[in-house]
Amino acid sequence: MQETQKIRMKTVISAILISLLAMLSAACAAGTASNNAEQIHTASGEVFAMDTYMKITCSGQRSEEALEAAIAEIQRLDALLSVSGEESDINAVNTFGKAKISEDTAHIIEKALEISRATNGAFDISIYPIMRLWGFTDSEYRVPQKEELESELEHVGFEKPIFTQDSLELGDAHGIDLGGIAKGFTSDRLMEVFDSYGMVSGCVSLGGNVQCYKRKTDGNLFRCGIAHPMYPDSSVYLGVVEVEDRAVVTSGAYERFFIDESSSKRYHHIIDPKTGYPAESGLSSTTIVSKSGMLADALSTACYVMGLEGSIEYWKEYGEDFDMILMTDDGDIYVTAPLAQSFTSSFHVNIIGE
Amino acid sequence: MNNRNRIIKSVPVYSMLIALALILSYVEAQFPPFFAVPGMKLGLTNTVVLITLYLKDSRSAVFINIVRILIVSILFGNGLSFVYSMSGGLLSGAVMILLKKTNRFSITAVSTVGGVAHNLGQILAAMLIMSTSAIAWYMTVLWISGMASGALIGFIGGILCKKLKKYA
Amino acid sequence: MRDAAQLSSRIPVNLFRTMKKYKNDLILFGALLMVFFAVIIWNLFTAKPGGFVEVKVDGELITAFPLSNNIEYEINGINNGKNILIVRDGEAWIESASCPDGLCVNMGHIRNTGASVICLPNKVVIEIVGDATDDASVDIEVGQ
Repeated sequence: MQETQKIRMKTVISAILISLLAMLSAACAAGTASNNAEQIHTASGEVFAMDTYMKITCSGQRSEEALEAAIAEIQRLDALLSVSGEESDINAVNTFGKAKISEDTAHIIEKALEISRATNGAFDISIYPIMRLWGFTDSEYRVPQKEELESELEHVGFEKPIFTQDSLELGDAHGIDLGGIAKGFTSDRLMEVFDSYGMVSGCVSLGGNVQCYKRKTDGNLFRCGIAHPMYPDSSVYLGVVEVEDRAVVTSGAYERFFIDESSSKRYHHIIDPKTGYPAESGLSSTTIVSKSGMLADALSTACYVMGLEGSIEYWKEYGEDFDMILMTDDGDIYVTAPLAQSFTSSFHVNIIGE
Repeated sequence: MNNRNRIIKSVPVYSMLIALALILSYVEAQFPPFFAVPGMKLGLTNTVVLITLYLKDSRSAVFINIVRILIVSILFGNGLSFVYSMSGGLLSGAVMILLKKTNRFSITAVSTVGGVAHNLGQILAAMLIMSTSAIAWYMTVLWISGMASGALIGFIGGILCKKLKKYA
Repeated sequence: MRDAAQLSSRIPVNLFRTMKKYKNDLILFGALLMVFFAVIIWNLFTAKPGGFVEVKVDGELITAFPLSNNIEYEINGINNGKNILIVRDGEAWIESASCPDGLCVNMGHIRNTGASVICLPNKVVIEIVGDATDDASVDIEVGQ
């Protein structure tokens, strides 16, 4: 009798132990599951900076912190790079003709000059005084006299400022503006912020400049709808490009322009540095897709100025780092071959390259 | 003298034809307007142009064509209907004159093609006025209706021609 | 007096003579009808579902909407005219309008590229453009 009782006790104890073990593992599993669910926490925020509306979204365990850090970084760079404000390197250079610049500023200017050289001046940060003449800097729009433009044009030229790693001197130039490249640099920096906080997904739109970090939380690529110049402010896109880890930046006349009352002519903000007038190159929209936000930002402007032929030639030579989607004034769409698979459109698309 | 007589003699004939055109345009107005393009018309008044073409000659036909368009538009129409009448009427008149010259087709056939041309002229004018090529789509329906109205006018016109031959 | 038998045997001959007289006419008719049917059939075969609908007032492009969305939009025509545009299930149509004839409302639903509905009193035109793409949904907009 005692034997059976002993066996029964053992059975009961084993049963209890096994149940405890089961419950413990279940609790562990539940714990990790909820931990995983927590990791896909998404934080989203908006800020007004660099004269435009910016939206930041990121997902990850520390997404709230990452978002805060991202906004802080935007505000830091806004103060550093804008053409006004006490802390601005650019303001200092423009006001005093020469100033010390921070590492970030130097990095941007170096890249800007590189792109200026490669595009033969289609992108040019020394165009600031011309922008001022047209009133794009303070929204007091006017059509400048030909003589004004010609005289100011003599001081436009990317080779004029004297640049070293820690200082910038205007030299013969009359002012510089990083507006065409600053947002791209900023979005690159935001990707680095996401990286350092271990984000698993992220996406930013800085006044229409888009950069995507990794993929969406559901594992799919980000679908970016590109504004159609003929239907701005509508949900009709010239096409949708699917990306991961890429910046997508578009330039177009429709973004910013004014109409001269007396002549009813439209003047837009993408000035051709060679002529001082808004570029009429036959393109109405240029989109650059690249790993580098800075490159995408600057090139979208440069390609708009260079026109279809010029842009294709440029891409053929330097195109390892970027792809383009161009739309002509007639509505024809061109996309570079490596990007063609990721691009869908309601319209007919021509492919550049093989 | 002969010329003067001819002109004097033709006045009553032309007046009768114009009166007929006015009556026909009244009849035309009783039909529901074409749903897409107000101002477009059936083209019944083409009958008098057809009759003139077959009883007299091409020049008279052109003359009557222009006169009937003007009078009908001034009396009953507006600026818009005038444009459509002109474009439809001129194209139709030209086509019918050319077709009759070949001497291979009956009056009904000539009128049928004239009906199609009439609508074609109106659609072309509408495309210009409304600055959209979207209107061209309606040409499908108007093609058939043009054939039908043209055939009808041809048939009636043929009969009228036989009856009026002695007065030409 | 001809009797019935003789008359009826002449009918095919008469018919043949009539047809011969109007041979050119028949060819012309046939040609016109053939053009008509050719155009109809060609349109049927090349009809493609459209991508989006353009809204134009007085010849000027106002806006456009993808057909894949569900939209209700009030178009402001000339002289304060109003047309209500509905987009649903890949089709677009004028639901109601302020114009006296209301023809635009009766014109029906359009869905194929190139099709259009016109309201002349309000000078409003809606037209289907582009091709339908399988998925037009977008996560983020670039450039606006």
